[in-house]
Order: sequence, then C-alpha cells, then structure tokens
Amino acid sequence: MTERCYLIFPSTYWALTTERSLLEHGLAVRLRPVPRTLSSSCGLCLELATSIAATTQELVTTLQLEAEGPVTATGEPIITGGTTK
Amino acid sequence: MIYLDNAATTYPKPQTVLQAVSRFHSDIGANPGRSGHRLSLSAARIIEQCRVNLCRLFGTNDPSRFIFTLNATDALNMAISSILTPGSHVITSTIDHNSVIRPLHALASQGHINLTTVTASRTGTVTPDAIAAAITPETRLVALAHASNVTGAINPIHDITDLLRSHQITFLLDAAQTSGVVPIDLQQCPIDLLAASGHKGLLGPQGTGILYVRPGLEIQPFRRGGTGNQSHSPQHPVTMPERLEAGTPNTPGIAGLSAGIEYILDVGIASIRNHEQRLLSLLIEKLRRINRVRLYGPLNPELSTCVLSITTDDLDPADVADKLDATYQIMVRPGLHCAPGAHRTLGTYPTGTIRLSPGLFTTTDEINEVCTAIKTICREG
Repeated sequence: MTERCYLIFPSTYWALTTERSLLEHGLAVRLRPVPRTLSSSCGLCLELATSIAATTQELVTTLQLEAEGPVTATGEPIITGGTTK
Repeated sequence: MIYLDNAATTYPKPQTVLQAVSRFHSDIGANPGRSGHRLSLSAARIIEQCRVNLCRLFGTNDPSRFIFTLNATDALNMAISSILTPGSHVITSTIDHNSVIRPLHALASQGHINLTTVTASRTGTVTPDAIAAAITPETRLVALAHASNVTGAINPIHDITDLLRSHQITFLLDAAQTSGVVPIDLQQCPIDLLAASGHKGLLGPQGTGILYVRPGLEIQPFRRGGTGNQSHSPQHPVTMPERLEAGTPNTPGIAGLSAGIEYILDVGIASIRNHEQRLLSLLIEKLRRINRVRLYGPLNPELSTCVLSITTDDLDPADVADKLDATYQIMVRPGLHCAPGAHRTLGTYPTGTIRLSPGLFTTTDEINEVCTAIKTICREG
C-alpha cells in the first residue's frame, strides 16, 4: 500500500489555492478532512503519496503557498529540515 | 419591453449566469469548505474560482485580497468603518452616492471624523486639483466614486491615485458604476480599496458585491464569526480572506457572479465599452434634437459610462418615467438616484432627473424607440 502524507493549512482559502496550484503542476493530491491525529486550523488537508513529498514541499516553497508539511498521519515531518511555512 | 435601468441592476443576465445559479442549487447546495465532503469542496471551489476571475478582470494576482460582500454599499461601509481612527480627516465629493456620504456623515456627526466634501464640476467630474486643495496633514482617506451614477462622468483615477500615493493617503474607490464596463487595472493604478456591486456591470445576481484590499493594507474586520478555520480560538482569524469574511456566504450568488465575470472576460471589456459608447452616442445625438429635452453630464462617451440624465421642460421626471413605463414599456429611473449632492451640483435638486442607462444587451433599435417615445411625450406634454 502507498504511504500517504498530508499538507495542512491555516484556512480553507489556502487549502483550495494549494490544491489548484499543485494539480496544475501535475501532482496527484486530494483534499479531505484532516485526520483526527493532526492539528489543523482549517478542517481540510491535502493528502498525497510520500513518494512526491519532496517535490510537493519544493513547490509549496517556490509558489509561496501558506501550508505546513508534508507530515505523516501522526504529525511527523516527512522531510528532514522541518516543515514548510 | 425596453430596460434602461442598468445603472441600478443589469438586466437581462447572460444565460450562463442563470445556469450557474441554478446548477449550484440543483447539483451542489452545500456549505462551502466547512465539511470537507465533495459537495462542500465543490461549493468552496466556486468561491475561490470567482476570486481568481476577479484577479483576471482587475489585473492583479492575489485572489485572497478580494472579499465577498452583500453589495457595494456593504463593501463601502466595511471599508469606511474599518479604517478610520478618531480625528481622521476624510475627503469625498458632491457627486458621491449615499452609500459613501451616509456612513461618512454618521461618523462626522458623532465627532469621530472631520469631513470635507469637494464640489464636482457641472458635468459631475472631480479633478485632482480639487482634491489636492482639500488635503490637510490629518487627511487619512479619500472616498470617491469612479463614475457618477447620475451623469456617468468618469473621474481621472490614475491622476488621483498618484496624488494620494504621494501624500500617503488611503484611496477608497467606489467602482459600483464602472466595474465590468470600464477597464480598471490594479497593477497600473494601485488603488488601496475598491468596492463594487456584483449585480451591475459584473453581471452577477443581486446580493453580491466585492471589496478589494491591496496587499500590505490590513483593515479591521467589520463582522466576526464562523470561518471554518481556527475553530478552537475565540479570536477571529487574521489571514485574508477569512479576516474580513464570516458566516455562510451567498454561494449561489457568487456562482452567478463568477459566470458573469467569465462572460465579460470572454466578450472583452473593450468590446463592451465600445458597444455602450455607441449606444450613448446615439442617445445623446437623438435627444439633443428634441427642443424640450435638457441633457446633463459630459455628453461625451469617451468621458462617461453609459448613463445619461435628462429633464424635460415643465414635466415632472416621475410623470415622464411613469408614462414611459405605462404607455411604452420603457423602464428608466426618475428622481435623485440616492445622490442628492450630484443633483445640487447639476442644478436639478430637488426634482431630480430622468436617468437612462442602457446596457450590454441594449440595441440601437431600442435607443431609437426610446427617443421617439420621449419626443412624443414632450410634444403631448
């Protein structure tokens, strides 16, 4: 089974804006309610395969998107060096 | 039936607008974003797409700076009440609508602000020189209509923006009469705050409006409440657009507004402006030939939106409007148009004028028919 990770957001606006931007860049991401184990200020998160976590984080930084992560379902950063903000 | 009241609400709407509203009710219907299920996400996507469309229309690139409101009045109240501190000096003009005048008058009569109302020219235009002469060291805000809703006269906002930036004064533009019909490029003309109705030139349904807040300018929330984010905190979020939005929005209205903006982007704002200028030119030319008709405004389509105010010697504007409706099925708006200062400037207070406002779907045949009807009414008295 593919391992999943999550991007979390300060608001619905940023969840939807990030979804649109990442989809436009060909990344397979999916909006869903935030898993109970993750704290999030908005009820939505983006779910993605761990295999594209690095590319996703790079794009989030480059595009100056307001997102934290990617993190695992328990909130651990996927990539060494912490989370994106 | 001929509808010449587009300065109040544009009608008819493009079919795509009706379909978008209907499709929301039939296929989506859910609360935007709050719940995370597919219908909730579809509703939220409609709202965010509308912000993206607004960016395309106004030549800017940060959708989060567009806030949805009930109408332009709501947006203007939000801006005015959220930005002024006690003792601020504010400048507006005699041609401004009551949606600007009344909130400012209320603050001034409470002693909260000092207000200067600059006198517009006889055509309804406000010059940068007139504003410059009113500026004091305490001036915090200039709130001004982009175009008069009585004469259609367009104010020189590029020059006014330059003037206000050089004095570091916030500029609130009431673009109710110009959004969607006169090009506004926020990159070229960096206005601080722009308020507009959704139901006029933007071709959306009633109950929609927008407030644009330029990046870097943070105003206080006008209303606070549920936003779907940071629900654990009693403090309202500070991030835009949630900072200035609370509660369930008018998602079906915003769906229609988004479709209206897409229609404008497809047709092209230059093409819309061209069509409306042709209609206004014909209207001016034909009405000028009628002896008893007096015309007000710049009478130059280059300097005006598609709005023309007229009076007919000795006839009450309300009677003429009533006759146009009852006998000819022509709909116009008589009276003061919520802008008494504009009528004082024109010399048409308190009787007012008959306002003719053709729109995107008005034809030249309809303009000819209207002019013939006015000629007949003038002849018959």
